[in-house]
Amino acid sequence: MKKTDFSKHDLSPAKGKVMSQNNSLGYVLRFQGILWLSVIILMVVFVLSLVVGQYRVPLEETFRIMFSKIFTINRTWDNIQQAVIMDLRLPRTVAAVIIGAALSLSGATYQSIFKNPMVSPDLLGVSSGACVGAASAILLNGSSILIQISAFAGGLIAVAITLMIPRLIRNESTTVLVLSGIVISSLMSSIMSIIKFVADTDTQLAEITYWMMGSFAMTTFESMLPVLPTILIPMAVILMMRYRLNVLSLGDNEAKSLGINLRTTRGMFILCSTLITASSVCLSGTIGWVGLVIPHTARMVIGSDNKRMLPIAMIFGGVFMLFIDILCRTITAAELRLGILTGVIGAPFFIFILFKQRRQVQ
Amino acid sequence: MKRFRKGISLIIVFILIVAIVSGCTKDNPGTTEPVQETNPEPVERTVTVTDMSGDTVTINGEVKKIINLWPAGTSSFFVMGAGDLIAGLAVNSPATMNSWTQLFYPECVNIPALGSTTPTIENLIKLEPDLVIIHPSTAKDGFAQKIREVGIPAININFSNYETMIQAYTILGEVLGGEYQGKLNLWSSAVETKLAKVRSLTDGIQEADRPVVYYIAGQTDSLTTTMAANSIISDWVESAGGVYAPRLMDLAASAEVTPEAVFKVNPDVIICAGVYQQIEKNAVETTEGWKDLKAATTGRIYTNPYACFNWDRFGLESQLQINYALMCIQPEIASANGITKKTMINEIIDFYKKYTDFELSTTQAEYMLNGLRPDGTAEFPVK
Repeated sequence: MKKTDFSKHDLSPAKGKVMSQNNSLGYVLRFQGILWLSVIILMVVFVLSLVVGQYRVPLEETFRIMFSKIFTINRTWDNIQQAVIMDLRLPRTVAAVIIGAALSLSGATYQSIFKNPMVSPDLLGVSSGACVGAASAILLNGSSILIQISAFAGGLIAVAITLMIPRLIRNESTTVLVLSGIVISSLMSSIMSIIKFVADTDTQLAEITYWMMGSFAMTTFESMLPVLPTILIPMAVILMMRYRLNVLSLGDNEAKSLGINLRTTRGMFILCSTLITASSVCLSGTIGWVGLVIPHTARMVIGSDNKRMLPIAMIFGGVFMLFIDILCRTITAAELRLGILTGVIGAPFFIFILFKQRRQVQ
Repeated sequence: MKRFRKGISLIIVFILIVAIVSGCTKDNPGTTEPVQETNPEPVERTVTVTDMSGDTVTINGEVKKIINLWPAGTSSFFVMGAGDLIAGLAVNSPATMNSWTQLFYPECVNIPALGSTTPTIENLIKLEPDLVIIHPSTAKDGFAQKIREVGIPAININFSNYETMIQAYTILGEVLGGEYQGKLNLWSSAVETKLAKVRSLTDGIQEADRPVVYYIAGQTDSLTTTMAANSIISDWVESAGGVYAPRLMDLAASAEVTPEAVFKVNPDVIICAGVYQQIEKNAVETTEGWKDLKAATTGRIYTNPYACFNWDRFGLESQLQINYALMCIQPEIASANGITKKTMINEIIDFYKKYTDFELSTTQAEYMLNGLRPDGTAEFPVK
């Protein structure tokens, strides 16, 4: 059987049309321009994230501290400045870029698989499952590592149950899968309510609530390391196979006619996106809106071709998350939670996107 | 058949009307039999108090069974030796009562756990309390009124600083009467005296000379969870001649602050409270950035004693915090006025003898002062 080279196909997941014009020189140049501009913006915001904070560290000292790890530089800074840059700002800055990119990629992947622009990474119950896992660990007075492991396990278990339901009822259509995700998410929300109800109101309830809102406050390189492989490897897999997303978004019959093993391909994307989301959630707590808003923004800027849209969405996600994190730790002395600002900024922004795309949205 | 259905319908309508009318009609005092006729014995004691929601509540008879739905107020009963009065608590399990509470009142583990600050009214009725102390968060949603409607007096004695604590304990004293009222009145006057003395000792200190005090709440192992600028913490910190760090941060509510906000104020004194206090103290001393703060380099990181509840928070034991705070924040002034570790140990022993009727050994009092359990171990030890 002749195998089709899908990488040569450039398809629009939104409209299901081959977008041959996407290979035009103008489009490629536009993509390159946007890509490099995004990378430059990401770098600028990255540096800004290291420089901006409540504790003042001059820009020059910030660079000196950073480069002192690589080069021999005369020490002109104090221990607190070093700790602020290396132990507080750098880990959370790196985490913000990775998690922002991861959630955006995961969201864009889900949207393409399910051919639904309203889908976010927690469609199959991964976030609500992770919340139940983390809350259970908090209820048992578990350590931060146990909370992380429980969140990860909870997310995976929830998705596993969601995937099992269509098999049990012998209808493996996308609609049944989405409905299963909604059912499991609701079930997990109810379990969360039970956990909150029995939690100690003075300590555990507050901790559960804070965790659910997401934060990079406790992120360290040590806490990131165990999670990184389950974020970066699936991200790499999705990026390498992203042309297949275009085929999947055409619809089941079209994808089958192009020789795609629908079940395996979709399963692989679901597995990768779930691993990414579960790992992100276990590192930072649940962060809403990123996986929904950022892919839309990227699509608005570069179009629906996943080959080009996904890298742009990842960079946008990193910039957005960095920007949110800077606000969270600088607006007040209190550490604001990411979920608060992603909602406050994400919701009006999403309305703006809908307004801009009002003619395309039917 | 049609007539039969009609008849059934009429009966149902009649029953419904009777049920609605009887449900809506208020009891007519004139038609009910006077209480005196069924219970000729005279009422022993009737107290009418205005609680902290402004509700006037009348309590007939001696209060022997109390359901306390406000966790912050629970310790007060054990400290004043009134553990036997507690008939129910808003906890999930009384087995979680800390070791000091179990030492003072071993029966505390058998108190019925209601599992919520808003248990069902039926559950409350079943326990037949003479009084319910509601959680302040439910004060405005009519929960107290619902309890009162079934004939159980319910009061709100919310407190957030020493002043409101004195008000609350005065109300509770009036309700309980007798020995407990005496103890609560004694407590109020002791707090007023101690606060006045400490404030007079620190009044003259210039703002610039006052040490900045950062407080770690210690309910979790987080170093950044602290209490609001206007709280009981600011009450004892400022009375003892310190500047409460959250005031410099404009922290309106208790929250998790950023480490950078703490580094910016660079506190002179750090007080580690709560069950995680030993872990927190160790973390401040060893964590990059934190270990370079003024408080750490000058060795002014203190744990904070607790027993039935945290001294630094609410309850009768907060009386002991006044001198302890002075000892940590203004050690020279404290020492010059006879407040030392040794006198604190004596103060602890006297306090529990007076209020709890429990004779602590010097070793136990020393453990308490060092933020440890009665056996000298930490609630959450440093690993």
